[in-house]
Amino acid sequence: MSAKKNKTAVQAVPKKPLGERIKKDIKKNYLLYIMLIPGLLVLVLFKFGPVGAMVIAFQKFSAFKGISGSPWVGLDQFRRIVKDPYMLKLVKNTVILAVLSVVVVFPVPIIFSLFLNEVRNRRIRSTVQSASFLPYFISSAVMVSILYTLVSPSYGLVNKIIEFFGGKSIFFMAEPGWFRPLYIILQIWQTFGYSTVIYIAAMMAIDTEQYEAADMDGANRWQKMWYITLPSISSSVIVMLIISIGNIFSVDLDRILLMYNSSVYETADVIQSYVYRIAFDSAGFPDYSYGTAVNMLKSVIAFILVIIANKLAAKYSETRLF
Amino acid sequence: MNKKKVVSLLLATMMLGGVLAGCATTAAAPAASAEPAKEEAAAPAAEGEAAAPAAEASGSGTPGYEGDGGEFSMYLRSTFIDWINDLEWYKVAEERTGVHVNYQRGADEEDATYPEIDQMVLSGTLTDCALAKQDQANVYGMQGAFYNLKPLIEQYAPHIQAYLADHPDYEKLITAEDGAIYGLLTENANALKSSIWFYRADHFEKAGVDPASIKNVDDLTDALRTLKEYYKDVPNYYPLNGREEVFRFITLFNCGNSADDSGVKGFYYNNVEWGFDPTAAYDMVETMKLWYDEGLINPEWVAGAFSEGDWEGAMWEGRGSISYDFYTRPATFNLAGKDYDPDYNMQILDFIADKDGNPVRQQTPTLYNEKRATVININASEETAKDIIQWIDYFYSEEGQTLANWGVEGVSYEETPEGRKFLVSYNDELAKPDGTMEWTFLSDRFTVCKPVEAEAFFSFNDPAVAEASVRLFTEENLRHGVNIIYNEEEATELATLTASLVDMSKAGMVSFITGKTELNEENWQKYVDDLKAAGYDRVIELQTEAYNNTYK
Repeated sequence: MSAKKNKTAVQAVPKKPLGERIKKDIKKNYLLYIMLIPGLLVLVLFKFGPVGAMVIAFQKFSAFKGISGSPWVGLDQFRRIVKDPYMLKLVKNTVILAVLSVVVVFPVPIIFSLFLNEVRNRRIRSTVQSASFLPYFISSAVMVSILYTLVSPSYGLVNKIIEFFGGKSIFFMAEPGWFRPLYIILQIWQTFGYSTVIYIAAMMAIDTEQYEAADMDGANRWQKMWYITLPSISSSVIVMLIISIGNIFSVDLDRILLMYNSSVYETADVIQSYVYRIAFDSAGFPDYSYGTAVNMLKSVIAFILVIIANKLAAKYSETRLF
Repeated sequence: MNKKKVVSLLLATMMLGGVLAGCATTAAAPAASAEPAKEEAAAPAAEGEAAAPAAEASGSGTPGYEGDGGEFSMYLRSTFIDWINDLEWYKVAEERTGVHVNYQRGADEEDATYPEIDQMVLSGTLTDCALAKQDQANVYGMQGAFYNLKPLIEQYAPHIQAYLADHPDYEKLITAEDGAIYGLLTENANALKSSIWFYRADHFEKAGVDPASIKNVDDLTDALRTLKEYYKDVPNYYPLNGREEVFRFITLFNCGNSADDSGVKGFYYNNVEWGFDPTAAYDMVETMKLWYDEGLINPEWVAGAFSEGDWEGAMWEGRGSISYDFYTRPATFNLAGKDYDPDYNMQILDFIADKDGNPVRQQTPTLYNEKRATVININASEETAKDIIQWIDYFYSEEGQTLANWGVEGVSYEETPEGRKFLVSYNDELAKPDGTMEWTFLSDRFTVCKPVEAEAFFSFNDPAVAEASVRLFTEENLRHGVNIIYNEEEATELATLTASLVDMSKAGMVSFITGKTELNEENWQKYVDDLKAAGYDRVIELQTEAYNNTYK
């Protein structure tokens, strides 16, 4: 009894109730909170709101009846997923592409920014950095068109080079085995400049005294890169890695649809292209509920992966996203 | 209040306003963004002016028209709107009836318009009427989204009523499970014809190939070999060329789909013209592999990576000699062909017999286009619904059909002892730049839900194509696709099953043709078994069930 009293006394002393504290804070910083309202509205309406609409995965959704009028079917759509004969292939293709995206694509901008940071001429460094950022603004349609032109078996530069050296022309866009490498190459080309900007910004914040101390200790460039630069940007790297893992199943659908043809079906058909065909490119009546259920499953797996990655990051590097 | 506070509050208010404005749904949006049917057409071509007397009898009193004018909005594929805007006869129809349609532009591609209709139904922003799939018309119609057209037709549309009486199969087809009619399907001009074979006559002559010698598949293969040998020095030359879908030779190998009382074979659901039976495609795959191995067929086309533009380039630039495609294509190729080669001469080949030398009936789409159902939004007023149905009804009257199929007498056609003859030339009218008024009668392009007159449709063509159409598109040579009515459950399950199954079956066949999978009995059986395991048998079962419900 006395212990309980003591505990209550301890709890009551240091903090005021949360509501009171919030009220006080709002009163004190009301202008900041007013500024926050538009952002919050955008977040609620365009981020949280659509997530709520995913309940149609538990309905037999009709566009006319809407969410409130469509009948509820429980887990029927998810049972269909389990029975869907394509699901295994789709999950396999999606996971392989996703893992490649993280394993191959993720390190490239880190390595690039480490090397770029070693360039002493500031003008060259900024020019290269800007140039590497440019592909980020090129649309997938243009990018795939450029790829088609480059690897065309009839007139593509790549095949001309292969033939020049006595090789046989390869129809890259029709080879199932080449779909993933080409997809990853485009991914790297398009995104590495963007990530580089973030890493370079992190490198700019490193205290130069560390490098001076390393110079005095006789460290060479590789050692400085390995023992100073890389550990100093580790927080940024971890955050970017967690974001990448969060996006692990978010393949670039535009790019896939543009690169997709009958020949590469075996490797190119992923969960997103399947959902797209069911919900938006259906030959018959679109099945929005099933499409949403498939997509929801994908999102749940991605969410679990982010949580795990965040926990591991916190445990091993003392850095976490949330 | 200091300056910083004022600026902060002002900024926050502006941002809040922006967010709210972005969230607002405007029911009036369709009307606001609706595009009047060619306002700029106020400066008509000379022929249009000549047709002016017809406009005197606008609204009530116009022969064939039961209404008294009106105005309504319609969501439509933007390409259709562009075509409508250039049509002289359409402008005359609006003048005669006093009806004005405010079109709301949809996606460029027809298939992309259907999800947009879903979204408009969901958000309550659908125009007064729209062109939907029959599936959409029936499913949303039964849920209350669209008018039941049956009472409207009975009350206001005598010509449609008469058409229904004359075509009981049509009435059955468009009647939903609850007995109502939610969408009016348009007659399908494409069902009057099929794709045709055409060839570079100049190539044939130079290579010493007699087109008359090509009677069956083996003859075709021999001709391809001769052409390949003759043009072996032309880089990337493949005598057999085409665009997009490569499995166009299904009828030659008896592996096309079919639907009759014995059952439904192959992919039929939403794929009537090009649907195939993959389990019966061994001979086709074997022959196509032969063509592929010998460089007789374009490998990029086989891979599914040869676009329309690629194909046109190849056929114009002399990198191809034979194609099987849309029947007006030879004329189109000839129009620009001389720019590439002074000898350029594309001609039409007779239909080729199958592998065993038996005549082949070319598959056509269905007689009624199930992707073009005119629906009336339930939110449209009764007066508007009446105006819409009476506007459509006009095109089922003799006067309306004459106008839509032939135009205005003395301007676009004349009556002769041999029948009607066009006074306008297909090539001259089609050569006019986009945005110019023209007398064209291409009934395969949607304008208004209406019947199609075969004679007018084929007559308005390049002379060579017109002649070949009459000669080739006979009942003996064509096999018309059959309209099958699917209920909602069947449609949903088929849509999901075929979403991957069709691609899977094509990928398998491409793999055999390109040699990635060895073509032998054992591998073929595995391919068929895989398809069955993935739901092919269920597709056949559902299609047959729907066919039986429709016709038995």
